[in-house]
Formats: sequence, structure tokens, C-alpha cells
Amino acid sequence: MNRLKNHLDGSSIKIGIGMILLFILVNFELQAIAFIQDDERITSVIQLEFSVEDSLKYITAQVNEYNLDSIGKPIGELDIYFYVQRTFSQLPIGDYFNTTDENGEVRIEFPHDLPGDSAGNVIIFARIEEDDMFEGAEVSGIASFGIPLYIDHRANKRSLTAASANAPISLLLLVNGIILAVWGIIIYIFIEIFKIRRAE
Amino acid sequence: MDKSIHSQVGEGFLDEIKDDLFQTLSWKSPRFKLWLAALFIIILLGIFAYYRQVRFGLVVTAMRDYTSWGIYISNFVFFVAVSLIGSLVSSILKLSNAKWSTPLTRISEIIAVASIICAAIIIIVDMGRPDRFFNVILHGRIQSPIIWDVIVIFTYLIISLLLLYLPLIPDIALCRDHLTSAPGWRKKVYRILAVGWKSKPGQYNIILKSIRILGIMIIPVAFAIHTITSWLFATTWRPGWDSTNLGPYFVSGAFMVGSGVIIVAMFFIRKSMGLEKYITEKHFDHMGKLLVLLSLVYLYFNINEYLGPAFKMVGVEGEHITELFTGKYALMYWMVQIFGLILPILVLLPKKGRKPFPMLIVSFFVILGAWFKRFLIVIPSLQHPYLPIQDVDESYRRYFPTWEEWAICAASVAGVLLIITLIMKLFPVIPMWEIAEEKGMRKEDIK
Repeated sequence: MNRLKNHLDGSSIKIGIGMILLFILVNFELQAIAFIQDDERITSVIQLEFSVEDSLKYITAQVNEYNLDSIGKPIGELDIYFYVQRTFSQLPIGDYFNTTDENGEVRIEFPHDLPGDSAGNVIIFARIEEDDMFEGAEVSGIASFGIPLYIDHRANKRSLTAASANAPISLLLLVNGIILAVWGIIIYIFIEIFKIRRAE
Repeated sequence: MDKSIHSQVGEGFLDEIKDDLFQTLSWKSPRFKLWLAALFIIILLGIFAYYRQVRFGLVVTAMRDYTSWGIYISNFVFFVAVSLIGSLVSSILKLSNAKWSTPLTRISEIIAVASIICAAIIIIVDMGRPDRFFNVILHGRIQSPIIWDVIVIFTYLIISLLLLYLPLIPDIALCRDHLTSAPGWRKKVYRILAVGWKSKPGQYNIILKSIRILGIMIIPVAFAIHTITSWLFATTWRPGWDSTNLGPYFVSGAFMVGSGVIIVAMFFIRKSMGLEKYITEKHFDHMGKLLVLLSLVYLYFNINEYLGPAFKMVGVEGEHITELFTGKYALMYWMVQIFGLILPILVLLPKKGRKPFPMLIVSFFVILGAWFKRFLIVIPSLQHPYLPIQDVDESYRRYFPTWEEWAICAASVAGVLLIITLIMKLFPVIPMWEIAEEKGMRKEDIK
């Protein structure tokens, strides 16, 4: 917690109305924590925890009040929205409503079939979107919950299914050979036609 | 017979040929003008329909996600098929020394050129964004049969044009020298296209050698053009097209419909231009025999095409066959097989059936059968994808062409007829110098 405080006292990252600090512990219990500051007054902190139980992957968000430099009591009855970063936008995950309990905690299951990067890493976001006091609070963390992405490099090799630049050499030779042979004869015939006028 | 006497006989015959054929080049007949007007009206209607298609998009057609190839593609395959008649008559028959076919060579090449031009046009009509056509050439993949088709169609068109033009040069020179009363623009056309022809032996050597080279070369190209057209289907995932038989099935069907088209053309050209002396009942008899042979070959490939899948009736392939044999396309399917394939064999086998009029009727059935056959090859297969059709608008499940599609297809047929008519009114439809030579005249004397 001392480390968190250092971050708060020093250079926090400004996003929207609040200030967010991200802290991740890369273990099986991963954590991401965000502190929200409204003007000068810090109001809330979200902590994310990633865990695996019986091969099911869970994300737990813990939301607490935050006053000055200390974590306060848990915030219950607060809707948290979870997202996974995809190529062009963020994909919502979890239930339609994910509401914190009296301990300020909400847990969702991570879908089992989402692809991650080549190591299976995904960026997960938790956000408070519809609350007058805490709206804008957001935390993100990286978890290796995704299916590792397999990049098929065959598309870059010469094949019938590849792009035109990667056509098989044998096909290029065959097709171009036929075209050259046939069009060579056609050009020869055109040259002969031009000779007709002078032929005796 | 003494050679000079033989030549004199031929010379007299040449004058007769000139009289007979130059009179066919007149543009003054009211019947001809009426014919042109009718063709132009149909073409204008097609242009209007195409304007609507470009303006509003392919939504004006009945083509949707599943039936994405409609009668435009049926029509395209039909025209490519018809164009093969050029290689059959002016190459295969010529190389096999079938002398009787000489008066038919030019007609066949004119039909080939006209149909291949309209086949190329109709494929652009089928494109939702015709302005992107050149992207096919600029960014095409050599792995795609569509690119092979583009290449082979263009190549076949050029070879067909050369096979039409080269044997025409001596006759164009005859027009240049004898049609003195022709309008100025026509004289100019004759002068340019005659390329200084003076019936010299060296000039004949050039064209005879070139015709022979092209006559040999066009055979593999003709087989390629229709085999590749069949591969457009064979390489697409649909029941009815996964057949190793598809290439020869298309090629044999093409020769058959081409023969039907040339018989109809022979009948009307003979009647309307008064060319009974050149296109005789003997020619009809020979073409009748040829059509029977080609029908039998096509029947053989048809049996091959349907027997295997019909015996096994596996999955969607079975559904497709059921649809054709007893389903919603059954009437069209059996009409096509009976009237377009069995009837020609039955009627044309006896000698009496190989007279001009019965052959005309049979050939009409062959042509209609061939057009609907291509419809049956394209549309029912598209309506049976391997993945089930789900959650789509009802219009996606069926296909009935809209008036725009019919109008454009009718215009393409009118376009073929217009090109044929204009070429026949500009140049002699019978190879004059070849006929004169066959009658014993020396080539150098044909002037």
C-alpha cells in the first residue's frame, strides 16, 4: 500500500475527470488498482483481481471509498462495467448488471473462448459509468486469460490461396508460358499481315 | 480438262459469284431496315434497363446472396458455347478436309466473333461496380479461374477476328475493285482492310500459312475457353458442380448448340439473301449428321453428369438432383433433355429429317434447350448451398429474373444478331475466292 501511496502523492495519470493509477501484480492473483480524484478530493479506488478456479477464469473488482491518503469503506450497490480490448473497440463481458455487494466486491467469469495475443494476454477494463459521484473511474489490467493467437504464416507463402504476389512459381511459369506461346503466334500473324502489301 | 479451259470455266463462275454475292451487300431493302430498327429497339430497351441497374444497383435484379449468378451468367455461358462453332467449322472441319464446309466457314466465324463480344459485355453487365472492371486486370490473381477466363476470352476473340479477317482479305479486295457504286465510307473501309491485296502468289502464301497456323492454334484455345468457363463453376463450392465431367460436358454441349445456331443462320441467310446455290440441301444434310453426332456425344456426357449423383443421392447433392428430376425445376429439366437433346437425335437420324425446314425447327429447340440448360446448370446449384439457408428474407430463397434482367439478356441476343447482320451486309457471307478456286480457277486469276 505504501507503493500505492507513493504513486498517489507523485505522478498519477489523468483520464477524464479523475486520476487513475494502475498497479498490477503479475501472479495468479493479478491486481489492478485505480484511484479517482475529483478536483482535489479522492473519492474511490477500484482494485482488480484475476484468479483461476477449476479452470474457470474470474475477474473480481473491489471498490472502496478513498479519502485523502487512505482507503475507506467498501462501496456497495455500484454497477461496474467490464470490457476486453479488441482490435477496434472494447467488448463488454460479464452480466448485464454487475453490482457490487456490501463488501464492495463483484466477480464475473471471463469467457473461455476469447482470443488474446500470441501469449494469450488480454487487456481487461473495469469502469464505473452510471454514478454521479464515481462516474469515470476506470481501471485496466493485463491477464493471460485469452486463447493464445496462432498466426498462420502460410498466407505469406506461395500457394493457390495466397495473394497475387505469392502465386506458386509453377503456376506462374505454366500460365505465362501458355500466354507467351499463344500471343507470340498472334503477334507473328499480325506481322505477316503487315507483310501482305509488299508480298509478290 | 485443259487447265486454261478449266480456268475459263472458273472465271465465268467468278462473275456469277460476284453478281450473287454483291447483291447481298445492298442496304436498301426495306426488310433489312425494318430488321435493324427492331434490333435497335430491343437494344435500347436493354440499355434503359442497364441504366436502371447502374443507377439503383443490382437490387433491381432478382439476384441475392445465394443466387448471386442469374440469367446474365447463363447467357454468358450460352454465348461462349455458341462461339465455339467458329473453331468447329473453320478449323476442325477444314483440317479434316471436309470440303463441303467451305461456304459455312465465314458464317461460323461471324457468329463466333459476335457471340464472344456479347459474352464479354454480359459479364461486365453482371458486375455491380463495372467501373472496377480494370481492377480485375490490374490486381487480378493468376491463381483465379476468373483471370484465366478473362485472358482466354480476349485471346479467343482476337484469334476468331483473325480467322474471320484473313480469309476475307481477297474478298474485300474484290469488293474494293468491283463495288464502285458503294458509299464512300464503305470504299474506304474496303481499301484499308484489303491491305493492298493484288492476288499475288506471295500474298496467298502469307494468308494460307497464317490461316493454317491459326486453325491449329484455335482448337486448344477453343477447348480452353469453355473448359475454363466450366472451371468457374467447378472451383465453386456448390452441389452439381463438383464434377470431373464438367469440362468435356461444357465443350460438347457448346459444339452442339453452335451447330444449332449455324443451321438457323444457314436457313435464314439462304432464304433472305437468295443463296440457295451456295448453301444447298447437301450442306443441311451434312450439318444434320454432325448435329446428331454432337447430340449423341452430349447425351453421353449428360448421362455421366447425372447418373453418379442420382445413384448415390448424397446430402445436398441428392436434394439438388431431386429438385431437377421431380422438384420445381423438373418441367424445365425434362423439356430441355427431351426437346433439346433427344428430339434432335430422333428427327435428324432419318434422311427425311435432314431437310432445311425440319432442321430449322429442331435447331430452334436445340438453341432454346441449350439456353435453359445453362439456366439449370447455374441457378438450382446456387439455391442449394452446403450450409443451410437460415434467417434470410424470403426473396433470397428463390430466383425469378426481373424485367431488367430479361431486357438486358434480350438486348445481348439482339446485339449478337446486329453484329452478324452488319458484318454480313458489309462483307460477302460466302468465301468467294475459295468457292471459285474449288471450281477450278487459279488463285492468281481471282480479281
